[in-house]
Amino acid sequence: MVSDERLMERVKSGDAEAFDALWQRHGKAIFNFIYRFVGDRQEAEDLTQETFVRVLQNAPSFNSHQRWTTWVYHIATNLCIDTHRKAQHRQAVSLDECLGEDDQTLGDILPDPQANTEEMAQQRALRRDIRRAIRALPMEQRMVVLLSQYQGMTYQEIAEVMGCPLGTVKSRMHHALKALRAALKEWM
Amino acid sequence: MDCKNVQANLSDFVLAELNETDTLDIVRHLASCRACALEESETRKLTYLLGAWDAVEWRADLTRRIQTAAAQYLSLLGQNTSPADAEDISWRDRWNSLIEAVRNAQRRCAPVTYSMLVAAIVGMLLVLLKQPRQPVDPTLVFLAGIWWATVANGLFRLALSGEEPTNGAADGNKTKVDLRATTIAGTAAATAVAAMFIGANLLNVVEFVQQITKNTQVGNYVPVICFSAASLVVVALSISALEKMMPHRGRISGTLVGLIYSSVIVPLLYLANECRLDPVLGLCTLGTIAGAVVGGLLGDTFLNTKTISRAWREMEL
Repeated sequence: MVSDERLMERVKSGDAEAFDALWQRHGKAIFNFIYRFVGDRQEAEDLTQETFVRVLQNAPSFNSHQRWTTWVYHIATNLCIDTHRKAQHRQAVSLDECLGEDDQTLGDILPDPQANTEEMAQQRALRRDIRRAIRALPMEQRMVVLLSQYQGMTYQEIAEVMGCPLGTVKSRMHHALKALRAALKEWM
Repeated sequence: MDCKNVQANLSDFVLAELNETDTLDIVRHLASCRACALEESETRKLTYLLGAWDAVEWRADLTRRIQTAAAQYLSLLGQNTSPADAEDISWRDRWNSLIEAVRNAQRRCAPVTYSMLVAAIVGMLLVLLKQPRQPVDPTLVFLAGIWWATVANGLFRLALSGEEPTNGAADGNKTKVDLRATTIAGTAAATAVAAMFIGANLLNVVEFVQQITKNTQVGNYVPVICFSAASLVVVALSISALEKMMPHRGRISGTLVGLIYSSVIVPLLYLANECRLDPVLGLCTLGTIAGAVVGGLLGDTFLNTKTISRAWREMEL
């Protein structure tokens, strides 16, 4: 399989197929990362589009010695942080307002023939509580949890994406898990 | 490890982010401490629970929107690529694949293995280039060590770590100082210099063996042992000081390389040097170790001074 970095080199010369391949490989994961961070599907789609536009805008300066995923998540992370700061500044939307039924998954909507109604309701409640607990974390801790738990990144990769020392990542993760344990106590 | 330490490291343990020694320490502790075992099980359960938040699907038109937005940029990128550029890209592609392969190999290597590999390559080159039985000029070796440490190793590490010397315009191109890589670079450079000495002495192997067999009395080894011990202290202190300044992984590797250098290589050098305590060579050796370590640090990071100062500030905070 052609590496992401090689594909990006081809994108630099205007290769649309290479760009599509990168989108197919990473689009869903990046969209979900952004979505979990901002909590709003429409905003997540806009930010995902903006991330990939920036990938193209900054393509000439991409250095294929670096990992493409680290680079693109760094862009996505910066966009999320900017959006978060602007939202905080406006103070227009509260966290709970983001928790509508908008972010139901297909599994939430379609009935699972194996599961009974009670189990489904419990799963939905668990997902809602996880979303609330994660979104209640401070921005940096939330970012670390999302990158580690849902994007499967190591601490070292997270440190590179967030541009902070490894020790800071460890400490944020420690505090985040502690807070999540307290918030999700009834499920444990 | 006591309960306090174990609980502070539990999240790293559950996420498999600890080194082997700490992991084993925690496993041992958990086997004997019920309270910590319960904490561990709850942390593990939490990470399992978090997995219940499934991925969501985007709306069908997102791919089309992105393709439309991308089309104009892609056409611009295509226009900017002249035939000469295309040739350049192909050349760059080949170079990048080579660097990528070396970088991947280096990522998989333990720091000590990496240092030893670098040392072996440099040593072999010296043996191949050296005229048979030509005496070694300590100044040349010293200069070669400094050159290797500051220029070649620094650039090599910069190339391998994929870091840009200055902050790029792109969001994702901001440089980061890699402290672990820096220490590895320092130890690699020190080992490389040691290898130069060995390489320079390899062709005198017959004399070397004769000297060892001649000098069988313990007294003859006293200067060697003293020098070795002093060298060991200097290297250990330097590495310890570096570790205090830069607390991160890789410290064990640095210490190991220092210990191997001091306890094995230095005595061998002196035996090769007819068991005489040569102050010039001694000073050169010490100077070269210091030069190589400092040079490795500088060479690796001298282009990233702003990032380094930021990293220091963050560490202080």
